[in-house]
Amino acid sequence: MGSERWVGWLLVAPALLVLAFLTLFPIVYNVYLSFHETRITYRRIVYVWRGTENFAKMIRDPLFAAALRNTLYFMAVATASEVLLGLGLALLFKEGFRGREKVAPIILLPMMLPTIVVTAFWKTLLHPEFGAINNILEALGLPPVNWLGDPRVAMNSIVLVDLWQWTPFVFVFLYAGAQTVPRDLEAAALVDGASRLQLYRHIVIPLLRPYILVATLLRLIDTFRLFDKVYALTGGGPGVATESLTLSVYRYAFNYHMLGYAAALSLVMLGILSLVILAYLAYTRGGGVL
Amino acid sequence: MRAGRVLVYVLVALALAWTLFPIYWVAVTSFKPNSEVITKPPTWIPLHPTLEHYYRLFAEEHFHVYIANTAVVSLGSTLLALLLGAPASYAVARSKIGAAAGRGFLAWNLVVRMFPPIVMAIPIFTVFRQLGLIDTRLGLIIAYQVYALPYTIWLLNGFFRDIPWELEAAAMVDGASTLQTFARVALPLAVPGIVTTVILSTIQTWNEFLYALIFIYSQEKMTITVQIAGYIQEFKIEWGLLASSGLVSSLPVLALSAAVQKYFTRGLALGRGVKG
Repeated sequence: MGSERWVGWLLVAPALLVLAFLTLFPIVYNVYLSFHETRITYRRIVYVWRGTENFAKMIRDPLFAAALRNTLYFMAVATASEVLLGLGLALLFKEGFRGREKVAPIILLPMMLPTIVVTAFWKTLLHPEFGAINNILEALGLPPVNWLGDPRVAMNSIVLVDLWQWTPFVFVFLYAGAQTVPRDLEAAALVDGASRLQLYRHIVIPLLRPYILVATLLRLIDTFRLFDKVYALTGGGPGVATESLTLSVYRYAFNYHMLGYAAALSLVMLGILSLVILAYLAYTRGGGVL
Repeated sequence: MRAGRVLVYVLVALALAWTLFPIYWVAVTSFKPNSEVITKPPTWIPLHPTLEHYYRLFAEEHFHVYIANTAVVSLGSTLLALLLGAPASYAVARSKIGAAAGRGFLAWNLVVRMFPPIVMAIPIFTVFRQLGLIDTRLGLIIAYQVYALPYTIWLLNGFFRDIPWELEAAAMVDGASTLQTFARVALPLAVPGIVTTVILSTIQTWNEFLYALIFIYSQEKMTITVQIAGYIQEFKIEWGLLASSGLVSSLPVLALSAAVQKYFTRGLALGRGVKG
């Protein structure tokens, strides 16, 4: 059995080494960077010790404050609306209607598209003057909305785009979960005189709870990364209205070359997200079968 | 009950309209001449349909170059992930490194998938700078292992587990070594799972934007997502280019997704958390 183990580790070793370089090393290096200021010269980086200055700087940094606020807002609003709408859709499909099997793949289309393509689509749709959405509002006699240019609206427009793209994911996830609700349980409840509303409230939704929770955590993890949409649609603007954490780390590292500060920010990001990751691992018992 | 039925159909119709309208509108826009894009009221069907935007996309914008770059990078990173990940996920699926180590390895892969990708970008970038891997397709392929490798390991681990163990046991009894059993028995049996994994992983890297933006500078090496982001950001909005480039770059992924639709939940749920 000893040589068996040895062969096993041999099979795992290449993947393990690459993963260590791509994940463990970055964390360690980010910690090192976060206590330094860097000067980048040709092919060389000079590190100057700065103690905890990078972390102290965050408290006074309005861009970071805005990015944190916006990202948390986006996570909360986008995840909540996607889960609610996705659950509604899943229950609608569970109710059953003619042509259901043909409609389901169509509903999934948005999440199959590349995010940047979804962004390109909505850039044209949300155009203040010639965009289709404002055309529709106009036809209905409603005032046009400056979707991406109004700082009070812009973040919600980003939510709207995310909603269009990812509600289908929550839907398909919960719909798969809804198939596991035993038919006889529903039948029994109906025979006992439960209304449809009671059936959903007391039987279907409680049974779906684990799926709803996992879908919520997966959406939180994904919305936390927000980058493509704000980078391309608004550039974080107007002002700092749609600045996100990933976008600001990107800016500090790759536009302003402040590697130490960017590393400190990315550690804070990791700290915030580890709360969600820990919840996921605890709930799924190490990511295993639900 | 009757009213309930009607409500169900009304809601389904609304969901379909909400899903399809943006796609329909962009598709129609891609066939409208520029002058017609900004007419009021807008036309539902192009009055003067034209292919000029598609012609311009390839003849002037050389979009096929970006498609080729994206294909090379996404297939390259998928294959590299397969090469590294298949032996590892087999060893874990068959508990070759012990159950506890295997579970730990899988959990680490899952956690890595959840990390915000920007966190890994700065250290990888600094190392690549020293190694001269910035602005190379090889560099991007290696960086993409952040996404592709854990994903491949998770999916393949599930597929290897689904293979009946008896066949491998029989081979072992006949004197085959672990390596031979893996290469000659398990790997051929896992082909459907491998194909699914390759497709799902290729879709992900095809769609990736952040690392493509960070690791590639030269125009001639750019991937489609970075190119489209450029169109989106242009001050004077290029309706036709946005619409046609978006549709053209979606077609390959839509075709691939259709091929693996029944595995889609499994793939998107980061592994085997919930069976799709």
